[in-house]
Amino acid sequence: MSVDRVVMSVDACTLHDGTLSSGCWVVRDRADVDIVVKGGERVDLVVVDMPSLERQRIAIKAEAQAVLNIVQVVSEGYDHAVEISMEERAEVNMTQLVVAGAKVKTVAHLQGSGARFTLNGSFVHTDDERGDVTVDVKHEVGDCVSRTAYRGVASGKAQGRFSGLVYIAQDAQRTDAEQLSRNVTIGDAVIHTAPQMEIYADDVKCSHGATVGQMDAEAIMYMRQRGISAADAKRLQIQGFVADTILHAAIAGCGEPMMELLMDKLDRL
Amino acid sequence: MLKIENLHAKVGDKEILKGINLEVKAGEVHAIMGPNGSGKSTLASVLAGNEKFDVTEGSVEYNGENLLELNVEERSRKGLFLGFQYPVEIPGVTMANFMKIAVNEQRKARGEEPLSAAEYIKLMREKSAIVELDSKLTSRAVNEGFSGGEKKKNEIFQMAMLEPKLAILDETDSGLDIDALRIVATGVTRLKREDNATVVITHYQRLLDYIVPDFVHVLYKGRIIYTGDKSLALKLEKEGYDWLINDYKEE
Repeated sequence: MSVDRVVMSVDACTLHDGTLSSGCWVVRDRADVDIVVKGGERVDLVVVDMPSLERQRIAIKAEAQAVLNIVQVVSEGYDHAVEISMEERAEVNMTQLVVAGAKVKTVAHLQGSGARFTLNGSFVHTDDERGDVTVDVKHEVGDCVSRTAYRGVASGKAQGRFSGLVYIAQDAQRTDAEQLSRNVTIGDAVIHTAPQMEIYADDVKCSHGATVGQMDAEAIMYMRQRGISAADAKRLQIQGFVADTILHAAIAGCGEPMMELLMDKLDRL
Repeated sequence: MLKIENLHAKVGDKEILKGINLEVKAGEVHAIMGPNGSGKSTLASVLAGNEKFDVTEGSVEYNGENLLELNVEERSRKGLFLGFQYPVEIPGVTMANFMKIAVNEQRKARGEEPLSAAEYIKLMREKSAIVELDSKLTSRAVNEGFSGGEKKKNEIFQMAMLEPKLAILDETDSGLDIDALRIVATGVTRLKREDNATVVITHYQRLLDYIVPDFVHVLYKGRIIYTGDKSLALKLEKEGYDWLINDYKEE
């Protein structure tokens, strides 16, 4: 199974519930997992799913100044939920790849000043898959930074959905939040995108954006000038659009097998 | 190899090329110089087949074929290469993957088998050495985060990989420091063979210190108004274009 390759690409220990202080861990065959990353420690976490589970729920607490890099691959069509709470100056970098028609919800609570949350994700839906991706970021205190960027592609009769809520509490001053949802549809496929911001503080820096279906004509010309047909150039560009997330994966070692998984999926576009 | 006769081209309503005549034979290096706005990049784009431009009159024969009837990728597969003035980034598409697809398309067009993974890696190593391109850059997205000089070196790297019959280099020297200029020029010179040809479009003479042209043409307001040898480039560097343009106006 290609997801196996993602697991094997990192030198990791299998995780059951636990308090982590270092190293690389894999969550795989558990439906419910509770994790604490100890203050000041640095941990890599690879989350993959398995057909035998019916759902997957993971709760993570990142203590003060902990650094957590997460790579999550969703390849099964059931519900996945990840909830992360972050204390003072904790840092979470997350890469999420969704290659199945699944419901995937990620919620990040920034509860300590100076916390930093980054999520880069891509979803690809083909055939008649129905996908539903949600990323909610809650700035509960001030001086935190969040960056959410999601790319989606849907083809065939698939339907994709991206929902994102960035909530900024009244006392969450000097919040710096960005949210971006970029999507490409092929043929009759549909993607609904609804990034939202709910801002109650007055000294904040926020931006959000959503696009559907924008391609760069100059890049197509460049590829054609090297001998690639127009059709192949468009396909390559879409692949690149989604793969960009993987090229900058939160855990470098996972990049290659995730790319293989992604390419297999993109072949079905 | 290339015979351009009375070529007129416009973009939108604006006519930019107003009757270009140019002949390039195998083994030759031609330089095209001229002030900004004269149509140098337009000529390069029209030869490459960029659909933004309309050819309104004239003909272009390439190795016995009507070039204007071929689309962009068809021209490329027949050995025409354009070194872009402003190479774009292609996020998420690695240089290595991009070139592999391009090289194999060209091989397919020539009736050759695609390269194996090992053969391809060997080819990449060999060719990236020609332009002193760090082989690590090939696992990055095309041109992403590349400096101006790296982008231009990358154009020559691609030229080395694709081994074109006719290479048109559009302001390949713009924005380069002296080291990058030397590397780009050395790369181009090393790729020169008796059966290929190069058209170098440049604004500055200094590139031509390294890539010695057989012919230097001056393009002004959509026409080639003067053709000379390499000494013309030196004269233009010293005296600018005014003397030439004034002569032309008087005709």
